[in-house]
Amino acid sequence: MQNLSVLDLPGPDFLNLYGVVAILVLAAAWLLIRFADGTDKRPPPPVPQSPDAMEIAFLQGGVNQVIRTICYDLVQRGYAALGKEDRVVPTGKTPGALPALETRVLEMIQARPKAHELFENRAMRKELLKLLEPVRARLAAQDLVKPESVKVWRSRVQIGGALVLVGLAGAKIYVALTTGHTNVSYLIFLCVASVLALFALAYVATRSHASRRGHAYLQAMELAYRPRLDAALLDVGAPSATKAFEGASLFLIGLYGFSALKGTADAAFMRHFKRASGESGGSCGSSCGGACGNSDSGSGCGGCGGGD
Amino acid sequence: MIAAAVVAAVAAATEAPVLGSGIGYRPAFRADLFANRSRVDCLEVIADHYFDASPEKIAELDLLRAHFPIVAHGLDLSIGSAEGIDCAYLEKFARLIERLEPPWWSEHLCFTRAGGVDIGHLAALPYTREAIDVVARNVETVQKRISAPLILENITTVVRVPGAEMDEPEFLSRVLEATGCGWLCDVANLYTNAVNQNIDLDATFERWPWNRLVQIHYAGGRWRDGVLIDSHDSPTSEAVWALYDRVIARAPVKGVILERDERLPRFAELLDEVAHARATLRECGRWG
Repeated sequence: MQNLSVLDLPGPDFLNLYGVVAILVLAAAWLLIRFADGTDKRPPPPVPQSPDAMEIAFLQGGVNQVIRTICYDLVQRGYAALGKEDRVVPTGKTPGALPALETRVLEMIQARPKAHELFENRAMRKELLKLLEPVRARLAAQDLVKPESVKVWRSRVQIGGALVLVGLAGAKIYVALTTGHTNVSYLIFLCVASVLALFALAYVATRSHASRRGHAYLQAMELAYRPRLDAALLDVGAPSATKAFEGASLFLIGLYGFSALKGTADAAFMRHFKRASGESGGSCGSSCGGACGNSDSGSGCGGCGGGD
Repeated sequence: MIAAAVVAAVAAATEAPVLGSGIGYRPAFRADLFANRSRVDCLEVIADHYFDASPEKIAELDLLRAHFPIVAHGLDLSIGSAEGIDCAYLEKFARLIERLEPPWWSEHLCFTRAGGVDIGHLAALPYTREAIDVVARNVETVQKRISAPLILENITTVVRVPGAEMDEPEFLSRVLEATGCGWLCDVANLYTNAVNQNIDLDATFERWPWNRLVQIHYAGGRWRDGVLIDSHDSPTSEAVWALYDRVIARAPVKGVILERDERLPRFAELLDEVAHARATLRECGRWG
């Protein structure tokens, strides 16, 4: 091993080389994950005339966005309310014939959970995923959800990249130690930092629920229906028999997320669920918790909770 | 050489696909438009709104193009200016047409610029042979840069320019003959001019160049100080509908477009007008 000239480089030179290798590994990782999703070779499907709220929410942010959308709908229809300490509480209003998804979330709300507990309940997530399977299948048939190949390539990239980074650093450390050099702490730090960066990049590049085609589809919908959102926001809190986002307009909550409610009478949803998402790191790992905190637009936490 | 170009232009316009019944696009009703996509056959966009446009406006245009057949309508080409065509403006228009690839595009038969001054108004041309020559020369310039068929729209005018050598039907027919352009017949403008200038439309009806008809505009107007204004801010009147029906029965047409710019009603009311226009197309075997 000592015959490898690279490993014989003086410490500073090797660190420079290691830095270049780390950057190349990260770049290659991003490219491999990027090209594993070839769904954008086809243009997105046409913007639907009557978007399905659950379908849009699921595509925008997975189960978490579906839960957010249903919570909002249950509150605007009087079945639930936002309570103190970020809790979602039942109002006691007797539900009529609610769809299965809404029924299941309303059952959860009977326990007056904090908002983040709605996302952390693994049993409920599993049930919701089962109920959402037809939705997922419809989206997958149109290449709108991230293909399995992305997950496969993410694993390959993480394993392969980590092997390169750890292997190169390990070999140099071995050579250094066998030649009596013990000042390897910075290389160890660089190695750990590079591997963490690799995993973070792999997570960020794959956390979105939608495929590249799905993203284009969502962007087209956001552009097409922005005027309807603007009109609905003006109606939030207005005394009216019909709520701003009721019925055919509910999909706007799933599409634009709670951040769109900023400055309206319903801005509390944004704060309530933002804090909740920020606290939900316990179930998803710290990186996801942080991402959720910024993900009211729905892009962040779809992957949170494992492959929903 | 010029005659060949004219023949080619005529052929291109008349061979264009039939687009059906559509509406002049306005961003205010974008969401309603997408929510009722199946009820609108085609769109017309104002080309000038997309020159030097922001990325968001370009994205909007691409989105519209992905969902509807689109034709472009210009406001400020000033096809009748004796000083010729503004090359910078033409270049912008050409780039937009390259992006949209419409089956045809349209401009008003008028001038909006004189002596280098933009007058901000669709001004009527004198109905003279000299004006026809000017328009023919300008159209030739335009066609060298934009190969998609150009069609010309009749405008409203509250005054007749003195020195006319012919009336409007003859002037329009001769312009289309000299340029090879198709006709965008604005039935509301026909009606408005007839009312304001006391013209008997029945007497002149057959003298309009129906063989060059490609597209129709219709819209509602408003009376102001005893003058009917083509204001595009009210529902299409019964009189304009009657004229529209007569035109559709008289000549084949590729597309009909509702123009509504001000005092936008509920979108359902616009859809009703689009459906009305489509029904006449169907009854006359022009569409569907």
